[in-house]
Amino acid sequence: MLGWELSPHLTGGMGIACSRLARSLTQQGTQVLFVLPHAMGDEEAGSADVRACDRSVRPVDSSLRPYQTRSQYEQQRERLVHQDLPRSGFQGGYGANLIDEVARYADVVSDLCRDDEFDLIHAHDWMTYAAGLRIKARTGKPLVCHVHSSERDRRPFDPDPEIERREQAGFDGADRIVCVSNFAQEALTDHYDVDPVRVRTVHNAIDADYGDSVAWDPDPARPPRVLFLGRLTEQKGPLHFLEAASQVLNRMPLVEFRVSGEGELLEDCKRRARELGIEESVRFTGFLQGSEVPRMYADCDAYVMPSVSEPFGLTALEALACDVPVLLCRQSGAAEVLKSSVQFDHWDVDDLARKILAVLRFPALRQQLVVAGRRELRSLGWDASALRLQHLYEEVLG
Amino acid sequence: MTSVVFYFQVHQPYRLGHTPFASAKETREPCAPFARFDDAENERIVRRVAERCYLPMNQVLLDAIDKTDGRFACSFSLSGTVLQQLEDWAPEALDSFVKLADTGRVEFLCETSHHSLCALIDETEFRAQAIAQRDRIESLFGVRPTTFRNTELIFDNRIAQLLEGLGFDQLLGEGADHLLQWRSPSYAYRAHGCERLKLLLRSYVYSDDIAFRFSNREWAGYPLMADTFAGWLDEVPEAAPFIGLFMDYETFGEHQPADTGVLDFMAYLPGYVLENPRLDFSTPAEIGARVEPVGELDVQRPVSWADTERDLSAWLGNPMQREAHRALYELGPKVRRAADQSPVAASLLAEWRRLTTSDHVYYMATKHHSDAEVHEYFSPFASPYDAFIIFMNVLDDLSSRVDRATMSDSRGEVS
Repeated sequence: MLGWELSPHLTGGMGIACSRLARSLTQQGTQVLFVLPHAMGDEEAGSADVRACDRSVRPVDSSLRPYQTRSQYEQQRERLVHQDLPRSGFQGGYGANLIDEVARYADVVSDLCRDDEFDLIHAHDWMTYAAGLRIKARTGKPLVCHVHSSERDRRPFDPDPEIERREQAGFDGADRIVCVSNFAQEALTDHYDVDPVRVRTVHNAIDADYGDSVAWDPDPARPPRVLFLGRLTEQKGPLHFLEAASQVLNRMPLVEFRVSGEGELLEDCKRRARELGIEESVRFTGFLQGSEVPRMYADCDAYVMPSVSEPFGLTALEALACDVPVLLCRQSGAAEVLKSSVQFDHWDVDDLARKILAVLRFPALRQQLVVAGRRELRSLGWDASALRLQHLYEEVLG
Repeated sequence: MTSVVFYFQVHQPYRLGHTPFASAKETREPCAPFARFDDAENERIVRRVAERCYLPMNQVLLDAIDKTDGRFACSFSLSGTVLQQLEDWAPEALDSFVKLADTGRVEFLCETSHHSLCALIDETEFRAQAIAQRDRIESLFGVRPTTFRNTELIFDNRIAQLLEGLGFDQLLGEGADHLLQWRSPSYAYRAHGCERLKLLLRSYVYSDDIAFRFSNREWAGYPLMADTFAGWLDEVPEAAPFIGLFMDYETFGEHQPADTGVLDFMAYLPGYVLENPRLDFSTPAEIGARVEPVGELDVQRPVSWADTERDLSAWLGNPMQREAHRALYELGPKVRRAADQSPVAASLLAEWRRLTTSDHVYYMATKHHSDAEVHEYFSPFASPYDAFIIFMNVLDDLSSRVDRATMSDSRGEVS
C-alpha cells in the first residue's frame, strides 16, 4: 500500500482513511505493507507494517504535502533549501518542481520494495500513482488506484494540468480504481477518461468511539454557535458560509460563527466578514488538530459543510458523532451515506441560511438529527469498508 | 350470505412548495395568502391522477354496476381537499363521481374536511371539519352520509364516541391483529363506550392483495387473476357477514399503473364474485342496517391502517412530527378566534386548515425499513428534514399574519 500520510499526521481525510483501512484490513487477515515518504514513528495503522522511505532505507525528507499548490510548494521548498534542513538520502537533491518530486518518490519506493513479496499494489491519491505504476511495470502485479480527492475536487476552477496528467496516467494504468463515493465516481468519469466498469466505490467511515471523549452540553446563556471546519480554499466553500452567516444574523442577531482552518482564502474570508459587517460575530480559530477537533464540534450547535465538491467529507460524520447536527452540501459523498443530515445545494445560500436558522430554532429537529444520526453512524464503520476492499482485491486477483 | 364491501379512499393534499419562500435576507414581510402551496404542482398531480385513475376507474365501476344490474356496489370517501382540487382543476372527474352517486349503488362516506389528524388533539376542530364535510358531501352527491371514516382509518374509543355523538351510524376502521387478536374482521363490533355506532373493520390481507401485492412480481400470488381472488374470498366462513376491502383509490392506475392490469382485474372481479351464490356486494350503510355487533372492542390506543405498526408512528413517530403537530394545533384557537372576528381572517383559517392535512407530517417520517420507501414515494421533499423546515417556516409565517390581523382588528375597534 502506497500512501502519503497516516493518522495522526494529516491535513485531510486521506490520512485517517489510510490508517483505518490498513488497520481493518490486517485485522481481517490481509497483510499490509504501508510505505510512506516520511514517518514520525507514531503512525496508526493497526498491525500493518509501516515503512518510511527516510527511515528504513533512504530517508526522503519530503517537503511535499498533499493539497499544496505548486507555488506554495516552491515557497516552502525555498525555505527548506535555504535553512538546509536534513534531507539525507537523495543524492540528486530535489527536482525543480512538485512533479519531479513525486517522480523521485516513485524511484525510491520502487527500489524500497524490491525484496518484498506482495500480490497487489494499492496506491492512495496521485502522489503515489507514479510509484504504483513503476512497481506494476517491474513486477506485473495488479494496481489499485484509490482516489480520496482528485485535482478537479481540490481546485475546481483552475486544476493543475500536470497533476491531472499524473492522475490520468494512474487511472489509465490501474486495474481498478477506488472512489470514496458514488458522487466522486461520477466526477471521475465526467472529467477523466475512465471507464466506469473499472471503478468501485468504497465509502469512508468513522471510528465507533469517535466523539466519546466529548459531550455537547451548551451553557444555555451562550449564543448558539455554527461551525465551519476545513481548509480555507475554494473547494471547501468558506465564503458561502459567511454569506449564509450574514443572512442568519439578519434574523437572529446573536449567533456566533466559527471558521476553523487555514488556507489561501483566510484573508479573503476576513475581508468578506468585514464587508458584510459581521466580523463581530465571526471567529477565526486557526488550524485545529487532534483532540481539539472533536472538542470544537461539541462546542458548537451546528456543523456546516458548504463544499463546492466534496468527494466524501469525513468531518460530517465526525461532527455528528459528537452529537452536533450536520448541514451538508448535496455535492458530497457523505450526503450519500448520511441520511440524518440537513442537505442543501452548495450554491443556494438562501436555502442554507434558512436551514441553519431551523436547526438553531427547533430543538425537535436537532434531537431527530442526532438520535437518528447515532443509529446511522453505527452502520458506517471502517471494517465494512475494508471488507469491500477485500472483495475488490479478490476480484482483481481472480 | 357474505357481502364484499369495497371502500375506496380518494385524497390529494395541498403540497407546500420548496422554494417560494421570502428568502432569509429579505425583510420579514409575510408572503401572500396561499402563496406557499405549490399549486402548479398540485394541479399537475391531480390532473394526472384524474386521467390515470379517477376517470378510467370510475368508468370501470359504472360499467360494473350497469352490467350486474346494480348488484355491484361500493363506497368512496373523498377528502375535502381533493374535492376542491377536482372542482378547480379536473371538474370532469368530479362529474364522473356524481354519476356514480346517481346509480344509487355507491355510498359516499364522511371524513374530516381536510384529511386531518384533528381528532387526536382538537375536538372543536374535529367537529367543525366533520360537519363541514358532511354538508359538502350531501350537497354534492345528494345523500347525507351516515358512515364515517377518519383520516387513515385512525380510531379509538374516544373518537368512536365523538362520532356517535355527531350522529353517525357506522365507523370504518383497521382490522389490526393487535386489536382483534383471535377475532375476525368480518363481523361488526362496537367500540367501548358506544351504544349505537357500529365498527366495520378492514380485512387487511385481502385488501393488500389488491392494493400492494397485486403488481409485485416477487409475490407467490403474482399474477393475480380476478377469478382466483374471487375464489379466495370464498374461504371466508359462510357465517361472516362481510369482507371489508378498504384501500386507496389511487391503487388503480396511479400507484399501480394500468399496464399492471389492475383496472382490468376490477372490471372482471364483480362478475366472478357474483357467480358464487353466497357472495354479494354491499355498502357500509347497508351492512350497518342489517348486521348487529357481535361484541365490544376496547380501543384505548389509536389504531390506523398505515405501515406495519398500524399505529400513529407514520405521522407522529419522531420528535419533528410531534413538534410540527403540536405547533400547528397550538395556533388553532387563535386562528379560529381571528376568523370569527374578522372576515379578512377567514382566509387565514382556510390556509391553516390546509396545513392540518396529515400528509404534511407524513413527509417528515424518518422510519426505516420497507415503510420508508412508501413514505418517500409520496413525499415531494428531498428529505424529512426539508419537509419539517418548510412546514415550520410556513407555520411561522401564517402565525405572524394571524397576529397582524388580530392587532389591526383591535386597533380598528379602538379608533
